[in-house]
Amino acid sequence: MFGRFRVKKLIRSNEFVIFLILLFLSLTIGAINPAFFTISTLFDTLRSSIVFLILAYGLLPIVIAGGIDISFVAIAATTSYATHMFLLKQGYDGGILLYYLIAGGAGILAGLLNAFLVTQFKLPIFDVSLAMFTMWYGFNLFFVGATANFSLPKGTVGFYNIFVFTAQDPNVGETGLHITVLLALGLGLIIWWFLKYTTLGRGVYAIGGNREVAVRSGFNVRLIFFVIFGIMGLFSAIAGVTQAFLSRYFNPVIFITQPLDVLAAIILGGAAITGGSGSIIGTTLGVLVIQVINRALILTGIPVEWQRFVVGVILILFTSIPALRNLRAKRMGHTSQLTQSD
Amino acid sequence: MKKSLFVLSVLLIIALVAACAPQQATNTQPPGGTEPTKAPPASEPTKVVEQEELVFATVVKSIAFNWFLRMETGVKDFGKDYGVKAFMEGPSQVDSAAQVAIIESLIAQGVDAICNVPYGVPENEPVQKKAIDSGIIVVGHEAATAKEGTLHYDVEAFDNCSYGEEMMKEMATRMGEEGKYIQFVGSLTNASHNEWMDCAKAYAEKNYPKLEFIAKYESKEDQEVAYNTMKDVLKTYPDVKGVLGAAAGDVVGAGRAIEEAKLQDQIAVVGTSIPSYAGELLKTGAVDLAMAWDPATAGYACNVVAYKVLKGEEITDGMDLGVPGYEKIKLVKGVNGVPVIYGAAWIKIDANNMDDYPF
Amino acid sequence: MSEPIIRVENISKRFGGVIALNEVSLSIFPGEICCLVGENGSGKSTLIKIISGVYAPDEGDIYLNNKLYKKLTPIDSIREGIQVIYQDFSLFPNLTVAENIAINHQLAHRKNLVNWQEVEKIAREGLQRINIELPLDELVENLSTADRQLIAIAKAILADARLIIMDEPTTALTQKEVIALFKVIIDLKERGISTLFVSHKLNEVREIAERTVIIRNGKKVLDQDARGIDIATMEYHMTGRRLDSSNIAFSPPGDMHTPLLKVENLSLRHGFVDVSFALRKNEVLGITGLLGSGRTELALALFGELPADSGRIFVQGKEVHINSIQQAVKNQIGYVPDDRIQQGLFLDQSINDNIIISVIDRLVTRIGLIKSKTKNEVSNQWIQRMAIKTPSGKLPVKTLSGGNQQRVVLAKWLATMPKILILNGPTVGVDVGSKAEIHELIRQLANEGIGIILISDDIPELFQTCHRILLMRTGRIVEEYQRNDIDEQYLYQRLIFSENQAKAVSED
Repeated sequence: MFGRFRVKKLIRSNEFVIFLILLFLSLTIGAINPAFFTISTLFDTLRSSIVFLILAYGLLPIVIAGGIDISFVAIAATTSYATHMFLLKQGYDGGILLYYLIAGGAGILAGLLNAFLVTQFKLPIFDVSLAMFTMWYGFNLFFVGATANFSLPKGTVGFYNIFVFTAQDPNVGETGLHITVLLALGLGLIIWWFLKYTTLGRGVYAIGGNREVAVRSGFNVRLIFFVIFGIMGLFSAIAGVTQAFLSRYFNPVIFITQPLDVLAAIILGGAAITGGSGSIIGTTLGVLVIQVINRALILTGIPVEWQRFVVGVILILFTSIPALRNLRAKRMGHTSQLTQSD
Repeated sequence: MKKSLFVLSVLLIIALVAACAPQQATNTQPPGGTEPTKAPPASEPTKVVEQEELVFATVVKSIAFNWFLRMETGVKDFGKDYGVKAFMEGPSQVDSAAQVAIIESLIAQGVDAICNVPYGVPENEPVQKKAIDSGIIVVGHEAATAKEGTLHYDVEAFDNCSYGEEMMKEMATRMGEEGKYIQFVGSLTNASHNEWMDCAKAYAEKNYPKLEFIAKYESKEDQEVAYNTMKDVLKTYPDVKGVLGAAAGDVVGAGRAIEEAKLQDQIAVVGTSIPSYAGELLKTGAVDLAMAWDPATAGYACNVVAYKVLKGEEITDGMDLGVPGYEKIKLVKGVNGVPVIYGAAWIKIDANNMDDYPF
Repeated sequence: MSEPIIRVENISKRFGGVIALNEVSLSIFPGEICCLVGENGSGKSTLIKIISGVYAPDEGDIYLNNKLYKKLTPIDSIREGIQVIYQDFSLFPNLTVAENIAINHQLAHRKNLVNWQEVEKIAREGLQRINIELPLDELVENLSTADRQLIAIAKAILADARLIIMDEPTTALTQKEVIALFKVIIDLKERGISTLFVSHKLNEVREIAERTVIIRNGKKVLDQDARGIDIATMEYHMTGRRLDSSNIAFSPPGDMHTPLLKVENLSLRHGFVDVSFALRKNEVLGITGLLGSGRTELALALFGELPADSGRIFVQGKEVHINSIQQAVKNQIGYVPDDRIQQGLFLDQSINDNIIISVIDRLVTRIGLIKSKTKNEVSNQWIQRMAIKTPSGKLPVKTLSGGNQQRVVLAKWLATMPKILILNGPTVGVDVGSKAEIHELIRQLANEGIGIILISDDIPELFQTCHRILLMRTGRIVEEYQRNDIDEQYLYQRLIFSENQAKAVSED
């Protein structure tokens, strides 16, 4: 990306491959059911992607730095639910912004707690996140409340129907692109800028490439971990609040089954599970692919009894394409290593 | 600086807890019993049990649902009325494996009876059998298809087929007895859900020839899934006119999608739900009718049956369990051999009477 | 001569009871190429770490640019223009060439934002200063070791290095890459930048050094102008004893009619083409060639790890098919890999377990258990025979030195009683003393009747051990020599020649 646009490099990139997968999927579904090619499908797919995009953007820097975290979903659930129960008790009747502020602040602190444990006690990121995953969900159920809550403040009612654009769909009637798409877009841009244009962001890649060398080169690895975990906590909280207002209820165990879906989207988008690589564009495409696969089933009329099987097959097929590419790259690397090490 | 951050985050967490805890005590159910870790310690009750106090556990699909918390009030009432230590437990999310693990630990604790509301009926069968083999009375709820020997009795608020047919009648009337409809079930392995829907479909085929069945979808007991599914259904079958929901969140998710497409007047949505879930949507008409049985009475009845079996009383067709809706029970042999007890305890909730059912 | 860049005086360093450095003094002047030579554990690394501020000496003074440092930190050392290029080159494989070169500049100037145009400019400048060209937006992981090293040097130059310390820089380089590196080092000298070249490859030291410093057991034993020091002298000072290499007893190889191993027209795509040769009993057959000549692939093919696509293999006159390692082992072929750490050993397992792992099925009793007594007997026998220096066979292999680890690998394969043993670079990374012992062992094994294929580009090593030497070039065996017909110089020239040829061919 030095101003020189290299077509060959673009074609070789993971992003391009995943884009082709998305294109292929869409064309296939569209061929079976032309209703797929409607503005409302586009809006619906984007809407169901919003929250996953935000979660994935928050998690991406940690994955690039070589960490696997699953606690972000628990942070999302706890911060959003606790904020709601707190404001409900205060008789809060205002808008959604205060939710974002309180939950976001709590999310940052929860993320920093992870960072503290990881850097201070040199604990593996995954171990810390596993503990935090259990702890935050347990905390939510035990101390905050165990039941879904449907009573939203007056100022927030109708938030689920604020659209950037609306269009008349011949089949569905009115359809709109929800305003939180802009939120996801903005957050994605921030992370893109952070990863590409800040020294801290480059440090994230450096840590993922070789943590030891990153320390030796003079990167402030501790600070970087605090920043990326803070981002993760903030983004998780934003995702939790957004999901609650889109679906109009607060669920104390929201996302509990989904950390791996988010991780899968990031990996599908070209990030290495061992760290060092990954991009915002790839992650975005990865989330969209998974969302489109989920939609494919109803639109193509695959019998419900077959759904799980088909999802599994599709996921294996499409995740193996980038994986095969990596394998090939590795094989080539392997042979060269053999000859080099003579 | 990091230390102070750490301290700060701990403080904030404590502040949030402090703020939320009293709220919860006044507004929702007491937390005791809803939290797996707070289950009675293994040793104490078992010691006392033999002579003095009976211990009855009710295990539900997940404690994160208002539905089952309502059931808990029935369980507690039963405990008070019958002088039994009765409590409820369940996983924090719907998950057969977690449910089985809970029953395993109850067996280890040596409770006297378990009333189980299985998420996946087949998945729960082995552990139920194990409980029976260890001398525990096991009564099921929403598990009429369980295999013989895996439950002493199954208690149903009503005959599943009648309930499904009732649902179909309500939907068909609202659709003018013609048009396309879809169905939602929580899970394809959920016996009751599938029985309601299959009976509803059979009833329609016989009585409403102009109704056209499209498909049965799985919501995974997640209203977000129902919501997204409904959106795609609207695209794929733009002329859909009716929706039947089996799980409590199904009509909520579907109703939201319908409301956002401003189609609440074109599509009839009827299904199992309760006011705390579907209240808003009942008011706007996106959900036309919520059908339910009071989980409190179902939980109560389930425990009564367990109590009678434990005391050696015979359960007979037509007998009165002393619970509303279960005054004249029907006793039949289930498809897979478990004796099933049916009440006639369904309720219909719409915008007009929703305030009568505060759960 | 001007002031020295670095002057250390009477430095001593102890780790627990072990004296790592004992009153060592050393000065390096601007533009000087100084070689620091010593066996493993002689104290070389400790000295480097003291100069770069990683360790503090227990006694002695450090002067950098004539300024006394009582407590030298790594930052001080860098500020005074001392740059260490470690064996891992301190690079990020997942980042581009440009970013790797510019990253230190970015950090040193405490920039919070990245200007990619500037990154590119800095990187280009760094590469220009050492007169090399590399694709700036290629990822470092796609580059060869030699190119990575050049990037590390470019980074050091950009940090205004006045002394560059290279720690075993040629370990993973081909001959030609070594020559290119030497050119860079001489280039640096002309700009007044000094190099401290740390190595135990004595022929390279002889070629590049202006001054040679040898340390042994923590003491400096030699520090003089490199001219007039020959390899034998260096060996003597490194080991403290004379290594006898002139008087080697070779037993004659067995007869040619029924060779132990015969290979006919063996080919492997991207590996080698039409390879035919025979190996006799009692024979050590050397196979040499440069990077990419196919010699490692050939070894792996014979061992079943990369089965050949076509061709025939005969063991003792009988045709065999080797499509897996198991089949190779069944045919009594053993293989000692070049990278013992990656391929040959379980470093955390005990020496005993490592030795017996390939014969484990023979030690299993009828009821399927392994008698630990038998196990220890078998492995102790090998520990003795291979003279592995360890207090106990129960210690993990990682506690051993490189040379001793290599012996464990050898023992592991010898325990399978192979008739044919393939050794790939058996003394890479092994110090001089152990090297001689391993060579002696190879000859001894041949005397006992094993046929040995020795794959190496260490020319003296080939002359120390082999009866015949095959030269491979771009996947083919191009020449065959009897050891006695040629000398080291001639073979060296043929080896280099082949690389130039190969390059010319590939560029056509």
